[in-house]
Amino acid sequence: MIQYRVGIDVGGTNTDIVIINKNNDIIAAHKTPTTYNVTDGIITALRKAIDTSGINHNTIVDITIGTTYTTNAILQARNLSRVGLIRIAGNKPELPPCYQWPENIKSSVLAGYETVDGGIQCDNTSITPFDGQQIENAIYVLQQQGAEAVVVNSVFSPLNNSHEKCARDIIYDITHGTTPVVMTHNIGGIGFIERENAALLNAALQKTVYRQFHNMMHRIQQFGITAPIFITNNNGSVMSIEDAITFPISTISTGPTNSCIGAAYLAGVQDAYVIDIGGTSTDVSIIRNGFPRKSSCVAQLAGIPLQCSMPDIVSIACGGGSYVSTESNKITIGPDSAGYNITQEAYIFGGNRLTMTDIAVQSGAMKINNTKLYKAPISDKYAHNVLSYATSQIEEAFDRVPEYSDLPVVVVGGGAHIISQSALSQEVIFPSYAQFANAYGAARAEASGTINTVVSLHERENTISSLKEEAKQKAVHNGACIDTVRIIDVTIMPYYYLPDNMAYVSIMAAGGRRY
Amino acid sequence: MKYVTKDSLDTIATGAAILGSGGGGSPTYVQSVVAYQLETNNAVNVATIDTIHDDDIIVPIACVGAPLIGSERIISGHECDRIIDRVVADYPGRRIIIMPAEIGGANALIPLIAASRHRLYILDGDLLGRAFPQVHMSAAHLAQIPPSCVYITDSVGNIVTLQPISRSHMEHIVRNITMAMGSLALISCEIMTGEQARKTVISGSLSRAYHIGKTIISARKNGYQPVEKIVHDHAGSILVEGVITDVQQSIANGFLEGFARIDNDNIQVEIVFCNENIIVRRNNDIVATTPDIIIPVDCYTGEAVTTESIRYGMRVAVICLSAPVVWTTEKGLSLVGPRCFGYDYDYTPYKGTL
Repeated sequence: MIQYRVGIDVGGTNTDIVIINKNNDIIAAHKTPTTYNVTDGIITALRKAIDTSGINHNTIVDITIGTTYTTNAILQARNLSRVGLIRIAGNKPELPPCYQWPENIKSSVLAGYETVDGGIQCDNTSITPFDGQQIENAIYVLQQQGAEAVVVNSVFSPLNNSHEKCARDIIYDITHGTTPVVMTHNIGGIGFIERENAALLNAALQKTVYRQFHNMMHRIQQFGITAPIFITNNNGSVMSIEDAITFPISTISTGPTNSCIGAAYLAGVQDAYVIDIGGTSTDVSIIRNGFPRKSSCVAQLAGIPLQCSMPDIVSIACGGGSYVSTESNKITIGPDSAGYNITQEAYIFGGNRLTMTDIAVQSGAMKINNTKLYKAPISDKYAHNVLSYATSQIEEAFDRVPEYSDLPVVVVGGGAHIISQSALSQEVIFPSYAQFANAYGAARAEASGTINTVVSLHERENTISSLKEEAKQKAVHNGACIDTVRIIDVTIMPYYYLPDNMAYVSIMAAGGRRY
Repeated sequence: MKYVTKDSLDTIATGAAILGSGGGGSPTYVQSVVAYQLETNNAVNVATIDTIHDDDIIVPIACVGAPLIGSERIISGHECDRIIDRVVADYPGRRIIIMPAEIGGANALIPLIAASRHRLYILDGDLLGRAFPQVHMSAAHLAQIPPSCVYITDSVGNIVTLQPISRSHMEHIVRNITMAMGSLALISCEIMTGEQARKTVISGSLSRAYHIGKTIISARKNGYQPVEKIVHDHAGSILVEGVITDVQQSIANGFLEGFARIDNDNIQVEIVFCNENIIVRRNNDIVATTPDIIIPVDCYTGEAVTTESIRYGMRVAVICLSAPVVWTTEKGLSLVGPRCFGYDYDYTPYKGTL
């Protein structure tokens, strides 16, 4: 039987879908407006794509979805659960949790917090002895304060998670397993506050994401597709719906990640710079070995520093829908954008706002197949000036990503034509289906396995190579083809002042998904 | 700079990271902790060295240990109280003035916690003018003041009082106590009178950090290249601009040692570090050495890149700023020159762009 794979990317403006065959060729591609409840848009997209391709529902092997649902839930502080925090920290930091968070997100998320004894030192001894009674007391207080879920954060839990596990068992015991518990060592690495932030948001998201994804699963089944559904992860691979519900924080950057991966596959390369010109912004990233380069900095969302894996992306506020204005000869592009209202607002569509799309059309860089176009009240010279200013902005963003020699540049996204071949010195590829890079990226996303551990690097080479093997096996277990599985990332963080060369090691392996 | 508030921390931190010469830990680890203290306690008044009385007691404060650990076992705030209580008991009735022991890196901010909680002045000065890896590499040693009593405390309440007979003993013992305290401790050493401070302290280092930070932040805001503004406004020089093509880091005897290679189209240089950046060489030529401040910065943001965080593929400009003059004297170089780090080279003042 001929089999197909479906990739869907739910963006802020559009829900994009592609259906690909076993040769990874696109046999159907569609865009439909994103709906408030996400699922309606997904079903519409599925219906359109299946209708045009004429394939049978039961020939679909899986559906992979990338969604901004979690990001928007955080940014809008919508449907978040109230979370209680227990810090297992004998050092008793005075700095309260959620310090300097946006007030609306903080008040939606944090029910209360308690600090108890325990926590680990870097030599694996306890800061102060762990005391189960203190956990019990804390949980009663937090329940009074309305906590629906609990985060336990122990000092150095990525090094030794025993205090977090003990605390979780006590909480499950007391609440008969009714209170969800998030242990921070499952969320991120070293960095107490940043890891705590990510865990708090993760806990706040679980309930709403559970409802959202179950509703989605149910509706897709009703629609007649029983194939498994996967969700794309910040790291560029896929995870099961269950994992996505447990770790929703791992889905907060999937839009740019999917585009980056899709761009490389569309262009037929494994290593490239990717420029994704969307409606409100342009993202510049690097893909190596088929995966986006991981950021070495602390990630941020809504100004909240987070300790979790994110791609290294330089973003500027210049997209196809960005408003353009000029004041005393200084051109300003963005940060405000017409977004999905572009077809009403832009001059060329009969509106009364000047956008980058007007500029691109007037200067001849972009063609729009629409019989009824209007002309923006600007001169050709002005359009050219703005376009070259936009190009210089994109070039500057481009210069800010780490530099590797001889990589081609792949340009994708609805606004891809803003940039011209001649603007950059490297080889520039404009792949076909460039406006579907994100959905294609979701369809092509690989299965991965990650090992996070603290080990002695006394016998560095042996240790690392056996951990690499373990990561590969995990990837294969998660669905990767054994013949394409390879090591994607090795992060080694030495622990200073410790005997025996102890280091935090994180290794990720991945391979194409099996059929 | 008359006082420090929560809003000036970002500026001080940005400049202090430059003066850290690659070491001292990234101030971002502690910035929110200090911001919270300044917000809930008091803004801190700054004293200049010429306003200090002879019988004032100057209390240098710093964190010792591994910066990475500070990002995990975050400072509680109470550590400072224990030290201040001891000093007040040791010097009853005297005016206490806090001072950063080391202006480079995170330690520019840490002493503000003590000053804020106890409504004390902070002195615009320090004992290093930058960051160095060992506690005996200080202006107090250079001025041959006998080592004072040392207080070392951790976040759970242990406090050790040490009366060292020499600074090499002090370095050795402090290092071991710190390790026993979980590789992170708050320390006060080289406590001195106002009279001694006037002959010893590297004056103006807090404002130097502030002004460098201000240059970078306002250049960014106004769309200038921060790198060029730094060297222009602070009499430094850009050695080379390029991409990191190789990094090696390893831990030896508790120090982060290694090198980073930087390439542009026609020039290749290597920065050698031991916690801080020690020398820059091009082929076999030495082009810059400690104690001058050698610091790679991000080409676009002007942000300092520490020896912990330097990574393959980064685009950096290697900047040199002059060392405080005390360090380039013969006596100064015998304490902090290249030979003190095991490199058999003379101090080579940096010249212009390569």
